Amino acid sequence: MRRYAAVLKDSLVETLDRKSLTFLLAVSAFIILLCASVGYRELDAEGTLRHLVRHFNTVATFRGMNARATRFDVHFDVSDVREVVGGEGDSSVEYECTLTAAPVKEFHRCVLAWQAAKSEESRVEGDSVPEPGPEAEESFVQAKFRERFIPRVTVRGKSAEGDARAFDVRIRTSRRAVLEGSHEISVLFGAWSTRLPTSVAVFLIGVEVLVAEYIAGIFGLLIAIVFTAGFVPAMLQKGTLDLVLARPIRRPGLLLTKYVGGFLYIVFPAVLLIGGCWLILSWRADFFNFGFLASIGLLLATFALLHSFSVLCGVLFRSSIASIMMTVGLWGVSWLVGVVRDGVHAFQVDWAAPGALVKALDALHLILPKTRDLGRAAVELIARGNLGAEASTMMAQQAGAEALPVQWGSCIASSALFVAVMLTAACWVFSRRDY
Amino acid sequence: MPVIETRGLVKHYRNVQALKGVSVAVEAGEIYGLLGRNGAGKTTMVKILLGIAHRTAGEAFLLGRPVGDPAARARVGFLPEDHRFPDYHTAESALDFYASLSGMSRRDRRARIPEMIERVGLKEAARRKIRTYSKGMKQRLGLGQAMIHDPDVLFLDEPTDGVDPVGRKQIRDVLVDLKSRGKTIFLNSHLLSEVELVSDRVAILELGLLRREGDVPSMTTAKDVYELRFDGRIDPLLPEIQKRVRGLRRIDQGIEVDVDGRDALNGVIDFVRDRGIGLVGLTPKKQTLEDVFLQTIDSPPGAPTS
Ligand SMILES: Nc1ncnc2c1ncn2[C@@H]1O[C@H](COP(=O)(O)OP(=O)(O)OP(=O)(O)O)[C@@H](O)[C@H]1O
Ligand SMILES: [Mg+2]
Repeated sequence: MRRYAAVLKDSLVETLDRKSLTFLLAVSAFIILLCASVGYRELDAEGTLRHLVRHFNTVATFRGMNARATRFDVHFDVSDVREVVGGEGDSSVEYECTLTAAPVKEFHRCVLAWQAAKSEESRVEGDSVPEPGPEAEESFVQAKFRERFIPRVTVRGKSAEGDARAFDVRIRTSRRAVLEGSHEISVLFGAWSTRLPTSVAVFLIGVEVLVAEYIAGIFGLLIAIVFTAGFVPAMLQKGTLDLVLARPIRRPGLLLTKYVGGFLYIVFPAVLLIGGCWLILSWRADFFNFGFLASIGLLLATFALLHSFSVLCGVLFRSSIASIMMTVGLWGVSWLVGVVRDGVHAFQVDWAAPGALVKALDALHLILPKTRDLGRAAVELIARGNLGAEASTMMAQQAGAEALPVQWGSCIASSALFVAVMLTAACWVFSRRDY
Repeated sequence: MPVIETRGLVKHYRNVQALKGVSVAVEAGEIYGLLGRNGAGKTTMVKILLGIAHRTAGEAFLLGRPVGDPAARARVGFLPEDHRFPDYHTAESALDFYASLSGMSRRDRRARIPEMIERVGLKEAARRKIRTYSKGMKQRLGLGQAMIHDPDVLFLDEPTDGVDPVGRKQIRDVLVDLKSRGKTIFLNSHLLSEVELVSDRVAILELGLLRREGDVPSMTTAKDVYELRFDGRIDPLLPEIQKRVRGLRRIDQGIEVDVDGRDALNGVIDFVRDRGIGLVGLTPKKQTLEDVFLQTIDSPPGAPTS
């Protein structure tokens, strides 16, 4: 045990010497500071709901593959807003209000257009507008709320008041921050502030995906691959390895410890960056998204996959440059396979892809590291943590859920298998070689 | 039981036969010198014994265990040729690393490391990064890491490489000291004069074959060559002496003869004494190890070696 601890410590000395860890930690600290500089202030319920309904007059229509937003000249407003705070131990909030749409004629055009788009018929033209039934009106309003990720709404039509239609609306949400426009955002420690056009939850999904998927998931991983790719080749240098192999240590143990050393190297900055951002964002927004925190695991899993391949390349080629290029190459290819496979499966509906192509993609997807799936899984975790399962599914569908669902079980199992195969091969080659 | 033993050790690299069946046995407490030209297979031999390279055929044992068993290396130290320390270490942290790899406890390391740094003369540089060291300093550190865990067996591949004469003398003293404490030392070198100074036994390896092996005194004593000194004028007798010996050479105050056995030697002495000239000195002729080495590698592989 002492021997392997010494190898780990040696890896640590190596990273500290290269200043690369310091660099990663500094970048992480800067990003955490940026997150800390954003503050949120809750606005009044009436203003929030008014903001929320203001774009109900836009309907998405489809022409073939292209979506187009059509705006109708109808004005939505709320009045008589009452807040019903949730029952025992429930953090959810409930609002009751009256929703009005005016003028009625334009409102009807709007509802009809929405119905037509839903049933993919051509748009209603002309002046003679048929009257949609009260049920259609109610489901239109309900759908508009659902578009804004508010699944639990009841809408009941009231008698017309003048040239306006009125509805009794009862909204129930998990918390205020999932409502569009409920908060004011201030950036750079209050230097500038404005009403957030989306909900805090959706905004945080954006920020968290940026941090976990782009900053850590692309930039951070790339740096980690570059810096850790040199570990094994440096150890294998002629004259360096002799000093170690002459000691009473087994080669597979030595190599696996080097692998773990490289892995721990990324654990520190990943935990600092995502953990730090999580803590700060949770504190500022007063909501703990454990999905974001859990995405550390997926980031580390992605690195574990790529690093195992990097170690194998290091043993085979004894060159960090070769290792970096092969590993980044594998990353790119595996990601591309994921994207193309999702695309092909999505278009299967109206374009029958050749069976051989689908099979080949599935096979490649099975053996290659599932970098894209892990990335999508992280996004899913983040969205679900912020919006809840129901609303995040709605969000995914809206974003074009043509992608195949992430299969967590097979994804984790095949990733573990990939790591095992890579490391076994690396240990086998390392044990048999003469140095 | 020998501490180091090989039987018919064979090693083939892809297209080189580095060892072609080498059998050696080194007893505990010996300093064993392995000599040979560049590429003779000396390093290969050591690497196989330490499990750094794998043998193609034959057997090899270290401290009674088959090579390749990590436990066999627990009590073994190694100074590789052309070693390269990871340059992010200091002498101190490097020794700590290698000592831990050998399984030394933290307490033992704390006590042992400063002592070792002192011993190899790196006290001033102990906390400097190795990348700032000179070649000789690195070599001293190499010796330090080989001895850090007080091993019973030491493999030293060109230990004096790049070390100045003072340092060489220090290293020789260290080796003698280790021997006096019962350690076994396996020394690879082509600095013959040094090997001669410290080794108990030497072997000459040439093109992967063991060409000669023996203890230093018997190897450097040339067989049947003697130096004779007399108290009278010997010159007039030379033609007669010539007839009784294989080789004859005039040296200061006497002659050097190469004779065919003891009787022939006594015949020469009797002949001279009968002429009224007394024998004042008789010494068996000494050769340097270099002479032996050059003779050995010049003779064809099949030729008899003593
Ligand atoms: N890894 C290797 N791959 C292929 N051939 C090798 C390898 N290592 C050594 N050899 C060959 O084996 C032979 C013996 O090499 P070795 O290093 O044992 O010689 P040596 O006696 O130590 O020489 P030197 O005095 O120069 O150190 C040489 O011909 C060398 O080219
Ligand atoms: Mg050598």
